[in-house]
Amino acid sequence: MIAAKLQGLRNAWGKRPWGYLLAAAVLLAFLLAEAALVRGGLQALRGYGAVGSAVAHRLLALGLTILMASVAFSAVTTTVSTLYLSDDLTFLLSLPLPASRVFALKLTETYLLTAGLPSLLTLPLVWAIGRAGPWWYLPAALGMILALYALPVGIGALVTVVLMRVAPAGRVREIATGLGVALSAGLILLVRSLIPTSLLRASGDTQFHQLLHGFAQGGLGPLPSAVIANDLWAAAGGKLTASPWILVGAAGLLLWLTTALAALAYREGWVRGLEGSGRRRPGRSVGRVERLFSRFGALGHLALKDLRALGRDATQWSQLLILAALLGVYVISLHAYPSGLHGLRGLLVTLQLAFQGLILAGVGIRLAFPAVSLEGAGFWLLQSSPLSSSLLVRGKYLASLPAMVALALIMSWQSGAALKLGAGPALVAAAAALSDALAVTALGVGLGAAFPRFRADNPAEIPISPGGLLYLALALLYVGLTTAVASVGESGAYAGLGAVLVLGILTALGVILPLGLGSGYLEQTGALD
Amino acid sequence: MIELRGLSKSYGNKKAVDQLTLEVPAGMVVALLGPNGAGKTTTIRAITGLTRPSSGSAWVCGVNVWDQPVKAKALIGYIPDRPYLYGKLTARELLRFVSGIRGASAEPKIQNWLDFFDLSDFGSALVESFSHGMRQKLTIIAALLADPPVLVVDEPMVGLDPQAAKQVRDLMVERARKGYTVLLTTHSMELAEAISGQVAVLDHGRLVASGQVEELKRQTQGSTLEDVFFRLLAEEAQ
Repeated sequence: MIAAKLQGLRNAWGKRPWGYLLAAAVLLAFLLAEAALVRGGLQALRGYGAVGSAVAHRLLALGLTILMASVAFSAVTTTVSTLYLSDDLTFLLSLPLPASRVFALKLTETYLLTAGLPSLLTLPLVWAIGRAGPWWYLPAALGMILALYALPVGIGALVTVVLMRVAPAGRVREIATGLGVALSAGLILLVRSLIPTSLLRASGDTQFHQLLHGFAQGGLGPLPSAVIANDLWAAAGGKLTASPWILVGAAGLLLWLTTALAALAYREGWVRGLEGSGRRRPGRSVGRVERLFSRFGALGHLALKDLRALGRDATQWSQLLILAALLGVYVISLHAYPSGLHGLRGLLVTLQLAFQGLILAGVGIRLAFPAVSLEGAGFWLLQSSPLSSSLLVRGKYLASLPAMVALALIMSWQSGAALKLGAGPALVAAAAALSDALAVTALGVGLGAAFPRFRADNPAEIPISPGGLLYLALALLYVGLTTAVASVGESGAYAGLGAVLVLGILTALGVILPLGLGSGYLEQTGALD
Repeated sequence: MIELRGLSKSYGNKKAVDQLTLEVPAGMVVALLGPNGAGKTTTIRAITGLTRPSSGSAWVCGVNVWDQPVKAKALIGYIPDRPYLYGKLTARELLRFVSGIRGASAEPKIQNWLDFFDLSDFGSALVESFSHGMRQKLTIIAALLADPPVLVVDEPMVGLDPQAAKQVRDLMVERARKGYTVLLTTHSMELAEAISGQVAVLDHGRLVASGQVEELKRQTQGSTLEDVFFRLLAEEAQ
């Protein structure tokens, strides 16, 4: 089974080798930049002596906790897709193979989909921490990280297997997503309680050092992420402790237990959560909303269809919860900003703009990039309809845009209020945020159309592609550009006007080019070929 | 009518369709026959604007499908062999969506079609809860809702119950009788012989023979269309 999956990957590579090479190059550049940043940060913290070192310890624990929580967030919903809704599941279970092996493969898929990217993002961190450590540090650190992320995957999968039995028929995805909401709410609270925003309230060196000391002394208790963070530091110093191996054992046991339980549940016909969704909906006649949308012609019908699918598909609307969670973390953190940082205001505005852009790019890969691919195998219906590909891409763009623009403007408004910006700088910041939203959404929809994955087994797989990585790289580049332009524009009225004009030109290019690329691709090729 | 002029489609080194020239006149059902991998579905996808030909062209009622795709697609109703539809819409919502993007208002028609295929009780159910056959019926309704002058059908009877299969068969004949163009692919020789005014046989992407069934029977000395089909393929293999 694994050989067949690997062969599938090799075949995909053979079909688009340059795309994958480009993606690998972008990813490598990103990881190298992250490693350099972490290395620089660690060197800077060393300047604060023991306190700086303690802060570094806690920051690592915090980072691992957030990544672990993000794995837990997606593990529940992804498990529903991989363990029970995969297209190949029926085929695999019809083969003369033990069901446990099939579910072990599916669990491995879940692990790769949910923990793959966080594991990659953690690699530069562990390298920067232990690059001067013993030879066995890196393999040991890798084992610890893999085990750390295996825990939430195991727990998420176990919860899902149980949900399949206890959840009312046809409601398991909604309940799984509800659990995701609870996790994300927990994440917000955790970040709020741990994030060192209080450091920014310091009004002088003495107070700053006091706060830094206080932050360094805080702890995350027995959380696995905190334990592993401590063990990583110890391993970097040449000391191998016993606790990571207990974690490895626990993660292995959990995954084995989940596999065994999933196989047992299948054999005993235990699964009922996905059976017979059969709910009837009202709407025999055309409602007011439908009449309203139909006034906009084909575009309106497309938008209404997408909105209905979004509202009824938990794998889609759960993406909006991630957006809400991110917005919550951002807004809560903003209110920790001090009022007396006049000298640093320019820097803070620039940092905020960059951060907002990063959030938008992150949301775009979940909301805008999969927009065309989510048509799935039903794409033939649109392809064979009298719709131009540019209309189709524009429809997808317009459907993704409201959430992205709302997110950008709320963040911009909140950061302007928190930093007490005047009308001019606030306008420039809002223009940059709007530009980011318009162009990043266009990049997502356009590149999503140029690199569609109609046959992805589940929506979580869609962004994991050369197109997804290219989108991230270009979106970050665009955000960097608009941030730089807006920073220049903060310096005065004329500069502000010039910045808004430049942002207008950048936005026009950032919207027209990717949408044109996407519709051109759909026009030139039979996208489902 | 449908006209194919030197249509070819290659996937890498493999030629799925090779220099296919064919005319499908209006007013009769034309069946496109051939073994698996003969190029039938690729041909149909080129006609319906789903697969761009490597060379040659496809015309529908005088409109070049790949030069004026939107205009051409407005003339075609397409029924694919695998009825993938939007599972999160109800049957009625899906049909209103299809008629909406075709710029047609079709509420009374929708009810008539649902009644015709015995789907009225399921009009407000999500499509994801439908069986394969029910989805196939819905796909057929979606294709016929705007009353297009050209109907292109890929394996129409897969998954249909006997009554629905008879209804679809009668529908195709009725549309041809009204002067519409109907092109279908099928592996059922009985169906093709019963309703087709003309057949075209493809093998390895090339047109092996085309003409009226009786004419081909005389040429190959076959007693049934099935005989004709096997003899033509055997000749081609030699």
